Amino acid sequence: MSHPSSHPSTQSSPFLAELRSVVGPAGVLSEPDELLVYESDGFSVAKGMPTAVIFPTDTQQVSRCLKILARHNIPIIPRGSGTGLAGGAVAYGEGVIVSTTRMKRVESIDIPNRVALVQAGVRNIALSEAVALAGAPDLHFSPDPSSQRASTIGGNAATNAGGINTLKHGVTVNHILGIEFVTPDGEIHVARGQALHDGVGPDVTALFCGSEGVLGIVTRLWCRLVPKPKHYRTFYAVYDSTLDACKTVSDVIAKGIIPTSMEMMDGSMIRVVEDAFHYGFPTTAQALLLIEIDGIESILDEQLTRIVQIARDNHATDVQQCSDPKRRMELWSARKKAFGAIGRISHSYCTQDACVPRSMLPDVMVKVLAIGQKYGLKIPNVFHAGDGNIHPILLFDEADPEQVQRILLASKEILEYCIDIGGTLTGEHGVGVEKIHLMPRMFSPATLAAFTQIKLAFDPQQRCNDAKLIPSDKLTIELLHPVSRNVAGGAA
Amino acid sequence: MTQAITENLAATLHSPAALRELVADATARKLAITDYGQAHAGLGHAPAPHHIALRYRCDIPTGFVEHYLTDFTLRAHAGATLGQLRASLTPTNQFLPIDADDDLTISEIINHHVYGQLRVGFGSIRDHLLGLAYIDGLGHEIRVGGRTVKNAAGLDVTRLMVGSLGELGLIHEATLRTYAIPEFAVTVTLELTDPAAIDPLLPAWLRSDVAPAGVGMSITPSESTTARASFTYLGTEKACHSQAQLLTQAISGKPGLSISATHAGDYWTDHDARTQRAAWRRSAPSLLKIIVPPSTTGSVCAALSNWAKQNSAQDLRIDALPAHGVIFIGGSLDLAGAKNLAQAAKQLIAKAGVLVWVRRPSVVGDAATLDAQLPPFEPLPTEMSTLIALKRRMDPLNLFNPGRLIRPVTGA
Repeated sequence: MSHPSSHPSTQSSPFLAELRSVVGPAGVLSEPDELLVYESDGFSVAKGMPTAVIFPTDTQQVSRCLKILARHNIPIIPRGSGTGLAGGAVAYGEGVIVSTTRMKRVESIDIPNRVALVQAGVRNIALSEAVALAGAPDLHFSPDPSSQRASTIGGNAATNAGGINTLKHGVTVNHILGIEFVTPDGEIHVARGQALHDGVGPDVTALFCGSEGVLGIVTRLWCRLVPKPKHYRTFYAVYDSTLDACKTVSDVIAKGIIPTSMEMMDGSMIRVVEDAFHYGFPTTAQALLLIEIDGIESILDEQLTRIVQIARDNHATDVQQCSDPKRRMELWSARKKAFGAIGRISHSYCTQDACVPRSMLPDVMVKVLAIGQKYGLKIPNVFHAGDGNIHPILLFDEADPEQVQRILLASKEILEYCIDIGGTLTGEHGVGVEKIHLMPRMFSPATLAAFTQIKLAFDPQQRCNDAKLIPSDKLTIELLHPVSRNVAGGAA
Repeated sequence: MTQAITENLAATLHSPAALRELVADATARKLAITDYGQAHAGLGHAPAPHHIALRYRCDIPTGFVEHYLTDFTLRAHAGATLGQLRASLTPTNQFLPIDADDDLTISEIINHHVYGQLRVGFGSIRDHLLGLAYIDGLGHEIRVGGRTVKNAAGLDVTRLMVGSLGELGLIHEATLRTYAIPEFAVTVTLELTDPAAIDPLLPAWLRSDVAPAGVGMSITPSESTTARASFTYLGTEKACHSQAQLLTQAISGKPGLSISATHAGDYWTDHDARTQRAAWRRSAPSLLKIIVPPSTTGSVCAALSNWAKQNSAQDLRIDALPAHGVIFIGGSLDLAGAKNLAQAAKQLIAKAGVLVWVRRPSVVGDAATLDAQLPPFEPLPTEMSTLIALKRRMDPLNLFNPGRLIRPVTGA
C-alpha cells in the first residue's frame, strides 16, 4: 500500500468545504461514525475507511466535485448502493467515495423507441416499475441481478451485472445503449446516447460496462427496454447427483435450446432454502435444476417436453411443473433470496463468482467439493448453470482470522482451477480487489499493460478507483496476507 | 512476412506472427497500415499517402481455430469468411446469425459492425463476441475476453473494437457464440403505400407475439413511393406459420398495408434471399448510413424518398432496419448531390440521430479537400476527444487506418 493509513483531519480539510459548497452540508459525510457503513461493500472481507463520502444529485455536481478533487489530487472511489461482491467500492487509504445514490431520477421513458434515460443511482427494479407506471407494463429493463431491489443501474453497468435471465436475454452491456460519464478531471462526456440503437465508431459505452469505475463516473445511462416474456413454462428437476444435473444443462444447450434461465442448487443449498422458505423441495436431493423457458405460446409445450426428456435421460428423480403464476413467483423469489438464507446457518459468507465453459461444469463441481474438504469449509452452491457461472458460497466466521485466511486460499484455488480449464475469474461480480491478484494468471503482461493504457486515456493521474480491476503500480492491495497490509480499518 | 515491404504494398497475411512483423516493419519505415479486408476499400476515408494495404486471409480450411461443439462457441480466424464458417458449421447444425454476405471476413464484420435484419431476434456481433485477439500499435499480441458466455474480467476491449474500423488494432482471432440453425423460415413481405405507416405499428408488434426474428424495409424512389417491408420468422415450422398468421391478422383492415408475398422454406434459402436484397449496398458508388430513433424510421425514409424524387436522384435506393432505426441511402451522387443529401438528412435528424458516410463520391483532389466539403462523420467534440485519447494509447504511432474515423491525430 502506498497510500497513508491515516487520514488528514477531515472536518477542517479545505477540499471538504469546497465540496460542501457544491453538494451542501448534508451531501458530505466525514465523521468516522458516519463513514463506518462505507468501509466495505458486499465483500465484507475488504475494509477501508474513506476520507469522506459525497452525494451529488446530478451530473453538474459530479463534475464540479471531481474538479475539486482533481485540484487537490485526491483519489476517487465511485459507489452505487454498495451491493458489489468484490470490494470494488471500498476506499483504501485516502480517498473520497462519490456515491450516486441521490442521483435517482428516471429522466425520460420513451416507449415507442424502447429507451429510458436514467441517472446512475436509479435502482434496477425502480426502472421497470417506472416503465410500468408510464403505461408500458409489458416492457422492462431485463438484467436482473439478485440485488435488483437495491443495486443501482450505474452499479450494474460498472460490474456488467448479470442475473438469472441472462442466459437468453443477455447481461447489462447488452441493454445499455449509451452513457454519460465524467472523467476524473471533471469533464463531462457522452458516448452514443439519445434514443438510438446504434452508434458510429469504437464502442465506448461497452468499454465502460464492466469497467468497475476505473475510467470515470457514469452519471446517466440510456437503457434498452425489452418486452417482458408473456408466455413461459417453469419447472424444476430433482437429482441424486450434482453431476447428472450438470450433464442435463450441457445436454440442453447442446440441443440448441436456450432457456430463459437454468439455475442450479446443490443438496446443501436445497436444504438451506427449504428451511427458510418451505417451498416443498425434497431435502434429501443432491441437486435441483430450476428451469424457465419463454417464447410464443405455440412452441412452449413442445420445448418443455424436450427438456423434460433430457432431464429424465440424465436420471432426474422427479420433474415438477409450476403452472400457478403465484407459485412461480414464490419459486423465483426463493431462488433470489437464497444468498440471504445463508445467514441462517453462517455468521459470514463469501460468494465466489467464476464462469466456465458449460461442458466443464461437472468437473468444476467435483473440484469445489474437493477444495472445501481440503480447507475444512462448507461450500454450498447456487448458480447460473446455463451460463456456466458458478457461485460457490464459502461459509466462515469473519471474526476468526484463521477462517478468513482459509476462505481466501480456497477461493483462490477454485478460481485458479476455473481459469486453467478455459474459464474466467468472474462472470458477473467483477474483479474489484478480491480477485486483483489473479489478473496476471488470466491475462498476459501485454494485455494487462493494454488495460492500463486504456485507463490512462481517461485517468492519467490514476486517481479513479485505482488498483481495482487492473493491477496498479501505485497501489497494491493484498488480501491474502492481511498482516502485511497497511489499511485503515483493514482487519481482514 | 516473407516479402519486403515497400511503400503502398498490398500485403496478404495469414498469421498473428506475420501481423506482428508487419507492425514492426511499418513502425521502422514510418508507414501506416490500412486494413482493407475484403470489402471496405474506399469506406469512409481515403487511405494515408504512404501505407501498406493489408488483407488478412485465413488459410485454415475450416476457418476456425477451435470449435467447442457442445458449448456452442467458436474461436474463429479473423480472416475467415462467413461462407467458410457456414460451410464448416452447417454439418454440426450450428451457425453464426450475422446476416451478412458470405465473402465478408470476421474481422470486417467486427470492424464495421455489420449486421442485418436478424439483429431483432439474435442481436449483432456485439452480442455474440466473447473474446478477441489482436495486435496493438506496439506490436504486442493482446487477448481479451475469453470463451465463456459471461465474463466480467478486465476491460471490455472486445466490444470496444466493434465498429472501430480497424483503428485500434489488427484483429487476428475472435471467439463467438454459435446457435442452432433454425429448423424453418417464413418471410412475409408487406407493401406500405406510405413508409411512415410502419412507425406506429412496429413498436407494438415488437412487444407482441407478432415480433419477428428479422425485419427490413426498402424503397426505390424512382420506381415507386411504396415501401416493401419483410418480416422473417424463424423456428419450428409450426411456430413460423403461427406467427405469420398473427401478422396477417394484425394488418387486417389497416389502410395502405397489404401482403405481397410469403416465402416459406429452410433457413439458408431465406438467408440468401435476404442478403441478396441488401447486396446493392456493397456496390453503390455512394452510401450514407443514418441512425435515427427507431420509431421515426418510416417517416425519415418517406422524407428521404421524397427528397430523391424532387432532386431527380434516379438510381437512389433506401434500405432500413426499422427495429433499430438504421437507414442506408445510396446510389450515384456527385459531390453537390451528396452535400445536398447530407444537408437534407441533417435536418431530418436535427432532434436525434447520427449520420456517417460509408462511401463518398469520388472527387478530384486530396482527402483533406473532400473532408472539408463532405465530412464522413461529425461527432460531438467531447466524443471525438475520447476516441482520440483511446487511439493515442492503443495505437501511439498512429499506424492503423489513420484518419479513417478518429482525427485529427498527429503521428505517422
